[in-house]
Amino acid sequence: MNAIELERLTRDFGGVRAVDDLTLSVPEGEIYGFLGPNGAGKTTTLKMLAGLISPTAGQARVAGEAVGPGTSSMGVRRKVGFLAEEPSFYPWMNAEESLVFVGRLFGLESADAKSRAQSLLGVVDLTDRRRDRIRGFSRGMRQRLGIAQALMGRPAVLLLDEPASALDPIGRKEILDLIAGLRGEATIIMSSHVLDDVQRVSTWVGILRKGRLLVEAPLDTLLQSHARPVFRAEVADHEERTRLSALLRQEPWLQEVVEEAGGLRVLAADPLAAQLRIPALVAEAGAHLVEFVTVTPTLEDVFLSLVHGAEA
Amino acid sequence: MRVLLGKELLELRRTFRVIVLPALFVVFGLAAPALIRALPMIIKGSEAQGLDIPLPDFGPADGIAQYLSFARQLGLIAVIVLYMGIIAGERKEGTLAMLFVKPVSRLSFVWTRWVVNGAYLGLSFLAGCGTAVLYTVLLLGRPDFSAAAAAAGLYLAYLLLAFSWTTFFSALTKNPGIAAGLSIVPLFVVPVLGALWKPLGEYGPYGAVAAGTAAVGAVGSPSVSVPLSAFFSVGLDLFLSAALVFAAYWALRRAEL
Repeated sequence: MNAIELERLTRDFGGVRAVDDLTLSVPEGEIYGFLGPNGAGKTTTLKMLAGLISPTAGQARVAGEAVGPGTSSMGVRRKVGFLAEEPSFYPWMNAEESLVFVGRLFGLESADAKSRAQSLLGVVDLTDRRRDRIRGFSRGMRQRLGIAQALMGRPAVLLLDEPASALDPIGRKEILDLIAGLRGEATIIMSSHVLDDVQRVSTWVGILRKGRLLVEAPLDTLLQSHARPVFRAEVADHEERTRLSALLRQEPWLQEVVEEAGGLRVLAADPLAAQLRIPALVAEAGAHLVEFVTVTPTLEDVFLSLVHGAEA
Repeated sequence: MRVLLGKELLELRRTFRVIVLPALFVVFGLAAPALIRALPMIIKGSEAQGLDIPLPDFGPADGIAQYLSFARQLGLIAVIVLYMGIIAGERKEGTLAMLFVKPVSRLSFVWTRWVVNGAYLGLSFLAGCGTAVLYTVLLLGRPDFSAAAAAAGLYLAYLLLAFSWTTFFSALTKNPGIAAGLSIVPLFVVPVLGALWKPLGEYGPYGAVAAGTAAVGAVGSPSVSVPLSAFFSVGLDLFLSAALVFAAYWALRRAEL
């Protein structure tokens, strides 16, 4: 059974089409990673699912019920937790009051709301700041508090817009572990620019570009079926890397070349040509080849390949 | 509803509004009788500069009338400035979006915001009235308490109406400045229309204010009893206030956040 269903969902802002004929479904209990470059329509889609904006055409259903401003039933809103990219709070409340307020809106008794608030403050590592006014919180603290408020009502469906974007590496790991731990308990759609985050926690992935869905599949299937071999060429130093990168960019088969520690990661439209040409280009660049291997493609490779493929 | 009421009360306590509004009306209540008391001395000072301005004998009614004058001019502008963001501000800050993805009815939100802030505005105005009456007794003598009470009641209805249209305009836009600009328009248009067409002046929204002013009386215009038309005007103000709350809800019902 699908917890979330989008059917030919379209949204225009003036003359700009932010979401274009988007059809997708998220099976119950899955963590759906929603990927796309800036302006792909991820936030607009999540806002439509949260009932904050209306579709221009098509429809969206969460837990079997239509959502939209003025149309989302209380029943749906009781089942949904939403985290905006930049979560907003009443700045004159403290962290605990804010969570208790949300819990009370979900119908929890005061004592239960307080107990759940304290527990979630611990989970998002804000226990020490629970009595501080939110006005003084950093963006990362607001994001952690935002995740806690989205979880207050024990939602069946969680909509997370860039949930880890403002967090430091430790906070990011904790939040991603928390999200991964919710698998099976809640259906989650998580948008992110950070492909590594999505690969770490998602079970399903949808890639959006210019409002259209390029591909949607379980993560493993996506990695197996869409990724072409990726080459890693390690050369002696930065200057050699720069020269080699410049030569690679002139090759017709090149899809993307990404500099990473010590080497270059090369995505090729024609893997055979790449395999033959890369060593020759290393020699042409006057570089010293330290290592040349084929590596397992990551979600980032699939993403780059699909997005560049669509552009081509 | 109870949860939202609690949030509104906490917000009143935690924000500057809790001090500003009552302080403002209390200052009006102190300043009005003091101004009337000091006016002859100020005028006398100007005689030394060759000006000869004849002055009537000010009485206690003038102290109350002056307070009401402050309330309907500066007071109403202050209400608009303080409440222009009552809904638009939350929309702009994003807290409305945070709230409306939760099981909260938009009508409950508008209603509780209006009830708590409207009641608080009313109490602030009445605190100012009380101060004006007390200070008038001290500086100018004993005013007609029943006339002052009647005027306060009549003014209160109009004050509530002004607050309600500010709430409505605040729900129409996400820019508090635009809401304030729109709210200023009826502040001038309603009295002017009442002055242009007498039945509207008596039975219309501004009739309550005119009747309140007349009830207190002042130098040159003796106190008159409250006419039946004033009760109609009060009823109309309350009806329009309720209608504006529902209109605010209607505006917010399909608002995109």
